[in-house]
Amino acid sequence: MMADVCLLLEGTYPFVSGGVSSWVHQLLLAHPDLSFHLVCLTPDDRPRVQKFQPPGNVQSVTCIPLQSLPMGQRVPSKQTRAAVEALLAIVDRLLRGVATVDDLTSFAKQATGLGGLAGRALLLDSRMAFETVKAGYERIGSESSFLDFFWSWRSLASAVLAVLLPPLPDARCYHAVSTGFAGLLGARLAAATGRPLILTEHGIYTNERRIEIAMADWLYQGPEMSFAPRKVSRDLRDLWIEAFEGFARLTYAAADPVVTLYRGNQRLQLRDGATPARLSIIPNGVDFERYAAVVRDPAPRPPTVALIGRVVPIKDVKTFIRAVGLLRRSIPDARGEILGPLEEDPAYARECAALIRQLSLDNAITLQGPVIVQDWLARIDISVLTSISEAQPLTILEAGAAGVPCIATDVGACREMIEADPPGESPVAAGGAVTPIANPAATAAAMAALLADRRRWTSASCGMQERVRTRFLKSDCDRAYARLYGRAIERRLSA
Amino acid sequence: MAGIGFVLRRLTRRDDLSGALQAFTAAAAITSGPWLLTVLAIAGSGLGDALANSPPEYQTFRVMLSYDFCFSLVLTAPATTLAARLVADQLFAGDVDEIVPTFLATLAFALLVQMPLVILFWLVPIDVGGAAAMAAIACYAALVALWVTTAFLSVLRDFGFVLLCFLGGMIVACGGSLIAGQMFGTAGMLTCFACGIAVVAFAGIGRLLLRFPYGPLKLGALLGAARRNRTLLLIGLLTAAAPWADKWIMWFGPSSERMASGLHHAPFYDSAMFLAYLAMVPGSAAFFVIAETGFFLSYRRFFDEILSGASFSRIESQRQELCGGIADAGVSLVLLQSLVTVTIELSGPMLVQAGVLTPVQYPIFRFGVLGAQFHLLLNCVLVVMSYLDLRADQVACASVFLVLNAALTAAALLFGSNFDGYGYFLAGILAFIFAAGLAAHRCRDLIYVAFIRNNASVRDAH
Repeated sequence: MMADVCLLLEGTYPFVSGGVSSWVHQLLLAHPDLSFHLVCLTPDDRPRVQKFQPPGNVQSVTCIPLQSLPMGQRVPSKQTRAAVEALLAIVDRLLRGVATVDDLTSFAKQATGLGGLAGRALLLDSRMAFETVKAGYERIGSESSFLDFFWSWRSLASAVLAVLLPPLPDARCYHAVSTGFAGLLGARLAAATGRPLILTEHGIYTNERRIEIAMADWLYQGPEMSFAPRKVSRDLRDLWIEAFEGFARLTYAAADPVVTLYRGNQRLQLRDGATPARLSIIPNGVDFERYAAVVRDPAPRPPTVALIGRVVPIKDVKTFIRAVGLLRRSIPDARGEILGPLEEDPAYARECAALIRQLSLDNAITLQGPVIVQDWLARIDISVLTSISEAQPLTILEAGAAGVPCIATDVGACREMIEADPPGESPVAAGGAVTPIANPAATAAAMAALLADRRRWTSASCGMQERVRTRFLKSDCDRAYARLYGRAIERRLSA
Repeated sequence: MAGIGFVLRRLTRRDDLSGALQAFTAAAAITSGPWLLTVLAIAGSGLGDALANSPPEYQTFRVMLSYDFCFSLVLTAPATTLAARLVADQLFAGDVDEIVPTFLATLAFALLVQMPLVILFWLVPIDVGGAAAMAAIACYAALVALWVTTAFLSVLRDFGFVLLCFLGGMIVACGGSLIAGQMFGTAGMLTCFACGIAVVAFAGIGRLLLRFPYGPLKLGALLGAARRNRTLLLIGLLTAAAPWADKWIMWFGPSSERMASGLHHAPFYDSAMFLAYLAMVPGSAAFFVIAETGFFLSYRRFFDEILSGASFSRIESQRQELCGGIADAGVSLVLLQSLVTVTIELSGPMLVQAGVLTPVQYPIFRFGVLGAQFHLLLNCVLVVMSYLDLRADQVACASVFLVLNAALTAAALLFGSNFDGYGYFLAGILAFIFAAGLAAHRCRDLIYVAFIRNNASVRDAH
């Protein structure tokens, strides 16, 4: 049976816990009248543990492993050779970031013509594919490591083919929850079926990849130094970034509307090629009543600050740990709690534990692992986020609804949520403080300022709670998406 | 790489004639010593006047020994080919604790697979008498142990020890069998020969156990490796069987004899051919020096460039150096071996005059020497393919040689005994041309082969 909405998910729900996954789960629960089909893009075909149990209105789940392709025909015949070359040319354009929606249509036509013959053997392992790799290498700069380029190209091409080759899931409309490969799949589906594609971006996928690529120590600077002042230095990073930028442009071209959570994100979307007329904002929302019902625990306890989130590098938990260490110089009995799963990046979790020991903070900071946040909010004085990158963290909204002030780094929508007031709206007191990235001293100072001044703390508590109540209600978010889905399904029916 | 390669490179770098001469002499002794002695052991009693004047016991002994050598070589080759690869990987990984278990498993596997068939063969259809049959069975088992042991010692580059063992063992084997034959007939000769082979085999086993830590045999692991590397088993079987195909045809041809025991043989053909094989010695030595010095270094540089993150242009440059080196080595080998072939061909009449060859054997010998030239060159190409892990190509080349050797030998029978050996000669040329063409094609395509066709990571990634 055709589903109403096909959600296109990459590296998130239902296999990964976190803000986006929680948002997806809430979205599914909020629309019991709609049927959903989930397409989950995973790195490989290893079995995965579901962190969420999809509700009953999820008809089916399709997993597409991005690095696993069927073998297909091994030796190209004369007839298949031309089609394979055409397909490889389109893959090359996709990786260079210059492909258009017409290229996706053309790809679908050529692939359909080949039937089940197109697969890894012809499109990744053949001599034609190798020549395509070589041509790509020549373009990117012929002095970098060919081995690294080969594997990068292959990894990207494999993922592109994994979303462009399999049969299409049928739905009345499609909803991609990021650009990247999910967005590329959405663009393909929209082009092939003519049905609407909705895009919701929490973080800006392309921007997050830019940060990761910049931080990747395995992507060394390839080209040699040159004294030619006009020579443009290109290396492997360019391959990755151009590909992701291209996927984003394709998704923006195919999707309508292009939704994000806050204004700051829209600037990035416009920069990456989104059409202004299609942009809209639907902020995250929380069940205010539920969290506002949290009663603060009156029992005496030391001042407690908490980082609520996954223990992964992008949350920069180490800055939080250092900040607590600095905080204890002015408030010696202050405690830090790290409330979030440890298993997503076990190596990083071990590094954090080692840092706690190294700074002699074993009695001051605890890695609690996954918790029920509501149970902890009554005992937390400040919710702290030291992330390098965020969108519109639900943890700030949940803590804010419970009257817990928030200190966050100046990333994503954090400043909008904690300090800023939207144009035309009445000003509300700040709900905490915003600090620079990777600055434990600034974070410690902000924490100390709030903990030491009871009046200031109370003002931030009330301010944050009021912000959530007036601007970030779940019911508003649910209504907005109900309208979007209704219009999309109507468009499909009338098309 | 330690061992003989290092020594050879040092000798050849001395840039004087005596250094080069020492290098080539060492290579000749190492590559051909054991095989040379084996060939002499079989051929010795079948040549010239010896053939005409030897008593029936010697003839039966020689034929039974030929059968034992032939089938033990061919049927053990799959196991030794697989084991050589496993041991090379274990050495690369520094996993020396697995070497003795792998050796024991290979030996057990080779014996378990073959001995039931061998026992059946010597006791049921063939009537040589119980004692001779038992001696032949014992000799076969000793030979299997010998092939497995020398394969391991060769991979471990213990060539000097292999040569010494063979020398000592062959003296015991041949000397003992000649003496025992006078007193105890065929059974005695075979038993003494088996003892000599056993001396070599046990010396080799002892050497292995001294050098590496003991561990229990892991037959399961070997069988698992066999399942994953079926192509290697096929390469071993085909490469070992191909040079025997002409002899098998000739054993049932017009010039063959059927002994009372039921064994078929072609005495003139076999002996002449084995003597002709000696023409391969200089070329084998030269190839060994080339392989262990220039080729190996180029081969290592090519893959080191890839793994160290070199640009494509540097990789291509290294490919050209490697493939150019292979081509240059091929030309040098062809020239050298041609010179050797011409020299031996011209010496043919002198061998007849000296009684080493009979006039009947002379034309066979001539075709054999010509065929040996191309057989050697084919072997060299197969070794290069082995280095480059071109398994499918090795199977193709060995299959072509096997089929051509059998088919052309059978076809040559139609033209009379003057063309005995012509099939082997023609098969050698055609198989070499096929293999050389295939190798040249792969050399041009080597970067693609390295990155995709032969890349285990590409297979494992999916």
